[in-house]
Amino acid sequence: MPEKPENALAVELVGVTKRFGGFTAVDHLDLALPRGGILGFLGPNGAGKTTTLRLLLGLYQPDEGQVRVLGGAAGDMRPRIGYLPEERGLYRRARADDAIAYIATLKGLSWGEAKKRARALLARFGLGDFARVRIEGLSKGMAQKVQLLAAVAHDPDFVILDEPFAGLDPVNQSDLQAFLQELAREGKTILFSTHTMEHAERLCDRLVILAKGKKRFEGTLEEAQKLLPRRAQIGSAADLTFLKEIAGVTQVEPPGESRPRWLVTLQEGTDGRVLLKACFEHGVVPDYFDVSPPSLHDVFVAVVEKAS
Amino acid sequence: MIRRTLIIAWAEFIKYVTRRGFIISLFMMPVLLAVSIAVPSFTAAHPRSNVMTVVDLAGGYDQAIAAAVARDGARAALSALSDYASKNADLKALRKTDPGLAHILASPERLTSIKAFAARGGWQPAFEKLVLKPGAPAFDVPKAGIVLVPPPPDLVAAFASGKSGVALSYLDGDVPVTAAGHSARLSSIVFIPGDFASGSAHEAEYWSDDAGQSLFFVRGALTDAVRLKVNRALVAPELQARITLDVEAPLKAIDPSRGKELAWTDRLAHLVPVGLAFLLFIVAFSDAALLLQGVVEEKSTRMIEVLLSCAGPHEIMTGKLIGVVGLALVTIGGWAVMCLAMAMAVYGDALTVIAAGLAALLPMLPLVLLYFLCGLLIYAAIFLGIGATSASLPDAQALMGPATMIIMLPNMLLGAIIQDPNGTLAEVISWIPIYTPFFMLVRLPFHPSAFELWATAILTVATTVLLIRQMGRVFARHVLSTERPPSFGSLLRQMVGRGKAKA
Repeated sequence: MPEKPENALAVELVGVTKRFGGFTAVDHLDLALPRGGILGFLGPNGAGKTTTLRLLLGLYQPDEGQVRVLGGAAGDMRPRIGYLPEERGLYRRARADDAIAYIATLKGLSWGEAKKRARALLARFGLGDFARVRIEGLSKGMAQKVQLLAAVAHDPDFVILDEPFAGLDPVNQSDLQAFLQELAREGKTILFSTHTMEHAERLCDRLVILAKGKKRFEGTLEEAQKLLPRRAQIGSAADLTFLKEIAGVTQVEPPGESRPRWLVTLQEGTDGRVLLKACFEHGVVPDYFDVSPPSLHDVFVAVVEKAS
Repeated sequence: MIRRTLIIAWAEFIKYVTRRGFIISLFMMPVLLAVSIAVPSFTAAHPRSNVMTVVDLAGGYDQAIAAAVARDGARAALSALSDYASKNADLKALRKTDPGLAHILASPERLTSIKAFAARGGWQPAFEKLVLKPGAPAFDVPKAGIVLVPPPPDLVAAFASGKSGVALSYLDGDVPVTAAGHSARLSSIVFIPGDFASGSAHEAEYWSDDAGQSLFFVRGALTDAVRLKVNRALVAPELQARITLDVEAPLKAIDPSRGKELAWTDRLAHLVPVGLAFLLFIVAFSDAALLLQGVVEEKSTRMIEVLLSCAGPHEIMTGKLIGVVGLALVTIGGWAVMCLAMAMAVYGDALTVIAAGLAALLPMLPLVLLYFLCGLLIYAAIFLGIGATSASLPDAQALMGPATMIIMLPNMLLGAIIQDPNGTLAEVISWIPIYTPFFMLVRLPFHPSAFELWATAILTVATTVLLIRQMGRVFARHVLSTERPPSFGSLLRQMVGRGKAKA
C-alpha cells in the first residue's frame, strides 16, 4: 500500500544514476531522507552534489533509477519546493520585492499575496527599506538574502539550498543559520550542500557524504564521528610511549612538525581518563590534555580520501 | 501549467518593454522612417539646378531639348500645384468655376493635363483661379531641375574646331555664364555633332562633372527628337508638321478577381502585406533577438535554474515566446500610432488613406495575422534555441551568423518575387517552411490559388508547432549546460528532430 504523501520521505532515491556523455556524475545512489530537520549534503568538488540536487528538482531526469520527492515525482512537487542555486541569479533590473514575488507567484501564490509576503520577509530581514530597490543597486549580501527569501516566500515544505553560506560575511552567515533553524522548527525539511564543515556540524540533524558520485556516508553527526577512533591529545616534553601498554590504546604517536602534542588513538569504549591516571603514575604532569570525538572535518577528509 | 506560462509571458513582456533600449527604439524607428521619407522628398522638391547649354552643330536638337526642359518644368509645377490644391484649395468650388483646371489638377500625371497646363500659361494663372482655404500657406514653386543657357560663342567655336578642351574652363567655373539673371557655373554641356543622326557613327556627347546628372533626361529628349525627325522624313513635307510624339495611350489596370479597375486603395492594400513582411524582419531582429540575449543572461546568472525549479522548460519557452509576441505587437502598435500621428501632421487626409488601405486588407486579415504571427514565432523560436545552446553572447553570435544569413535570404529575393508574385520562383520558395510566412505575406494581395493559400497556411501552422516543440527539446537539453554550444549543423539536426534531445 503506498504511503500517504504527508508521511512520505522527504527524499527517496533508488539506484539513481546520471551520466553526461562518458562521465558518471551520480552512480547508483540510494537515499532515504526523512521529513523535517536540516540535512547536510557534503562532498568535495565534483562529488555529484549539484547534479543530485538538480535531480531532486526535476531539472535532470535520471538515466537509471527512481527519484521521489515528498512522496511524488520531482517535477510535480515544484510548488512545494524552494530552491537556492549555488551561483546566485536574479534579474538585475527587477526590484527586490518584485523578484521575490515573481518566484512565489510561479510557485502558486497570487500576485497580491506574493507581494505581501515578499515585503514582510524583507522587513523581517532588515531589508524593508530596500523593497523597491533594483537588484543591481543592492550589495552582494543583500542580493543573496533576497534570493534566499525568493526560495522560501511561498512557504515550501522542502527547501533545497546549494552552498547557501558561500560569499556571505560572518554576520550574514549567523543570520542565515538562525533563519534555517527557524524554518526547521516550523517543520520544514531543509537540505543544503556545503563545503564548510563547521556549518554542517552546527546545523545538521542528518548528513550525507558524497564522493565520486556515490554515497559514502548517511547518518547523524554522532554516527559520523564514530567512523573515526577517538583520539587524545597530550602535551608533555616527557616520553609517553608507556601509554601503549594500556588496554584499549591502539596507537601512540609522538609530536611532530605538524602536531605539537602526543596523539593517542583509543579503541571504541575506552575511557580517556585511564591515560591521565597512567601519566600521573609515571610521574608525568601533562600541560595539555584533551579527549574529544573527531571533528566532522576529519571524518569528511577520511571518508573522501578512502573513496579516492 | 497555463497559469505559469502566462506569468512567465507577462514577466518577459514587462522585462523587455520597460528597457530603456526598447523605449528608445520604439521612438527611433518612426523618426528614422520620417527622416528617410522627408530627406529624399526635400531634395527632390529642391533639386540643385543643372545649368546646361546645348552646342548643336546639327541644328534642331537644341530646340527639342529646350521643349523637353519646358515640358519637364510644367510637369513638376503641375504636380506640386495639384498636391498643394488638394490640401489647401476648395476643389468643389473649382469644379464649378473652372472644370477644365479641376480636371487638369485631378490627373497631373497625364500628358494631356501637362500640355493643357503649359498651354494655360503654367502655374501662375492656375494658382490665381484657386479658392484657398483659410490659413493656406504660400505655394512653393518647384525649382527648375535644368536651366538652359545659350551656348557661349567661344564654346561653339571650340567644339566646331574640334578643340573641346575649352569646355573644362566652363565646367570648372573658371568662366561663368549667366543663368536666370545670375552669374553661375555651367554644370553640363550637350554637344551635338554636325553629322549627328539616327544610325550615325558620331554620337552626341554629354559633358558633366556631376556623374550623369540629367543624362537620362537628355538621352530621352534626343531620342524623341531623332524619332520625330525620322518619322517626319517618311512623309510629304506638307504633312511633316502633323507628325508628333505627344500622344499617350490610355491604359488601366484591372483587378481580375473583381473585373474592375484597380483603385488606389487596392494598390495600398498591395503594399500593406509587403510592409508587414518587412516589419516581420525588423521585429524579429529587434524584439525576438532580445530573447536570445535574455536567455544567455539567464544562463550566465543561473536565473534559468531558479525558473526551472518553478516551471517546466516547455512552459518557460512558451511563456517567453508569448511575451515576445506581445512585445512585437506593442512595437508595431506604437510605430503605427506614431507614424499615423506624423502622417496626419503633414497630410490631413492620412487617416482616410490608411483606413481605406486597411479596409481593402480586411478580407485578407485572418491570413495576414496567421502568417505574421507564425513567422514571428518561428524566428523567435530559432533565436531562443540559439540562446539556450550558448553559454555566452560570443557563443550566440557565432551561431547567429549562419542563422541570420538563412533568415535574411528572402530579402534578397524580394525584388524578384514582387516582379512576378505568382511565378515559378515565388511558388517554389513559398513551400520552404521557414520562408512561407514571409513570401505568402508578400504574395497575398496578388491572389495566389486557393490551394496554395490553404496548404501554405497549414504548412505554416504545422512548422510553427513542430519548431516550437523541437526548440523546447533543444531548450530543455541545453539550457542548463555551460559546455561549448553545438555546431550549427548539430543544432539544425536537433531542430528537425534528428539529434539527441534528452535532458
